[in-house]
Amino acid sequence: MKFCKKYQEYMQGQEKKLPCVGFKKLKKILKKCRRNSSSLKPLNASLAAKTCPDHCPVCDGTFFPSLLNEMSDIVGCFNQRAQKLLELHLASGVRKYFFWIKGKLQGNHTALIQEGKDLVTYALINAIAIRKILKKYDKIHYSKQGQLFKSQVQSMHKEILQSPWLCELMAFHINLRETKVKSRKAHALFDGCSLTFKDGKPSLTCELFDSIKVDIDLTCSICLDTVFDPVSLTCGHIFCYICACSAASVSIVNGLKSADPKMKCPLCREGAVYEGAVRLEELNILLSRSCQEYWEQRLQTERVERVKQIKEHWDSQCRAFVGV
Amino acid sequence: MSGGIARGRLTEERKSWRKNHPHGFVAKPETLPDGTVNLMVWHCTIPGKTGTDWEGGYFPLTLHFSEDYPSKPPKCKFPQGFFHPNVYPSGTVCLSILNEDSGWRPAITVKQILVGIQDLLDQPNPADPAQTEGYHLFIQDAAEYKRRVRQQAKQYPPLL
Repeated sequence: MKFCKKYQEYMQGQEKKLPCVGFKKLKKILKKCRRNSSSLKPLNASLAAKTCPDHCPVCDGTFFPSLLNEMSDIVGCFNQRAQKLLELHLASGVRKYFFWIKGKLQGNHTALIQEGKDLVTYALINAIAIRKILKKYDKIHYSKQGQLFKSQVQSMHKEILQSPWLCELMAFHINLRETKVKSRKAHALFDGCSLTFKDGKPSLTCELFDSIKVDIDLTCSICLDTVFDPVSLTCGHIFCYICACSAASVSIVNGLKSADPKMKCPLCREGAVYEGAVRLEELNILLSRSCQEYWEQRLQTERVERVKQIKEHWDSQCRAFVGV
Repeated sequence: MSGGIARGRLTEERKSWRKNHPHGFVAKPETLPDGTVNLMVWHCTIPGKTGTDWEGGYFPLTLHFSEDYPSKPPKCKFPQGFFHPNVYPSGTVCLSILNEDSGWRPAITVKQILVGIQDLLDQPNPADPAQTEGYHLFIQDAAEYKRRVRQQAKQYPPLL
């Protein structure tokens, strides 16, 4: 079955109307462009490249803006729903009790797990759709504009595979795997997620019907160890919380919110990435279960560091108060 | 921010290096007279690239890490008076990835630093000169520059 058809079937099978890639509409734009360029009857590919340059007058005005809007809607919807879902799952105290009662009344726990799976599938299938349509654009235009657009979109944080919530949902899915859930038909697409270790280094892996494989490296590139108390910066890179604080030159007490906007990501050097950082709590739970010995060890060293920083913070506060 | 992070990172760097490192390179933390290891200073050796004028030379390099590592890059020093357009008379290497304000990222490993410096040896950056002699010869007298490089390679034979 062609991907376009598979994608449309999947999107139509969703109970709620979700934002999606307008595959048919975008293909029409490209067809129109192909017609226009083939009417000039180029003799070979190099000539075709000249007739349909990098900036194509026929479709650039509609193709990229249209795709960008769709990508924004998809990422926005995904992030919002994933955040809400994980909030329900990670609620504590009175909120947890409230959700528990609500869940008892509605039989909600199973639905929660199912929605987690649905959202991961939704993210991955849309990532494939976007990749395919951009490949098609480049093929028709003999250009690299599609690739260029993809990297621009990444810097705008509108690439769904960059979303910290995808990583959280994958961890959520693994954490709750023991619970048997009857999958709906759509989940023939979803092969599930797994935590894999290569040379002792962990990574989250997820596959979707042999077309795409997401591999999220869980090694902090600051301490070169497994991420502990992980945090995802707005650029999508994951670090230990304490390492991120160190890179942002802030203390644990003040937290990443107090980081200077000029501070750059330790990996991609993008600025203003700390303020919107997301604590990956599901991932934290998953790793603490999977690497218990390491976790205990790291907990000890981390505790010492935290106590030291808190003490330094209060010393400076006291000095400021006394006026020394 | 914290020396704990620097030492933890350097311990991991050491483990990673011992597990796998490029052929001919050496990188070891300094051992103090009392037998203790100082992780903040590493003594390294960079082999000259095969097929270049630097071939046959094994050049000593010292990496000085601060308590702010990896937020701040290490200071990399060849012996004083080392001949290369991008090495200061003091021996300090001038390389973009070692500059906190331009190319440095905490994700850069010791392995990447050493390979980067090995590449720099045979591919100097004339846009960023650090010593007069090396720069002028590189720009104005290619034959003499080559001769000096080969001569220097002979000064640093492999340590058996």
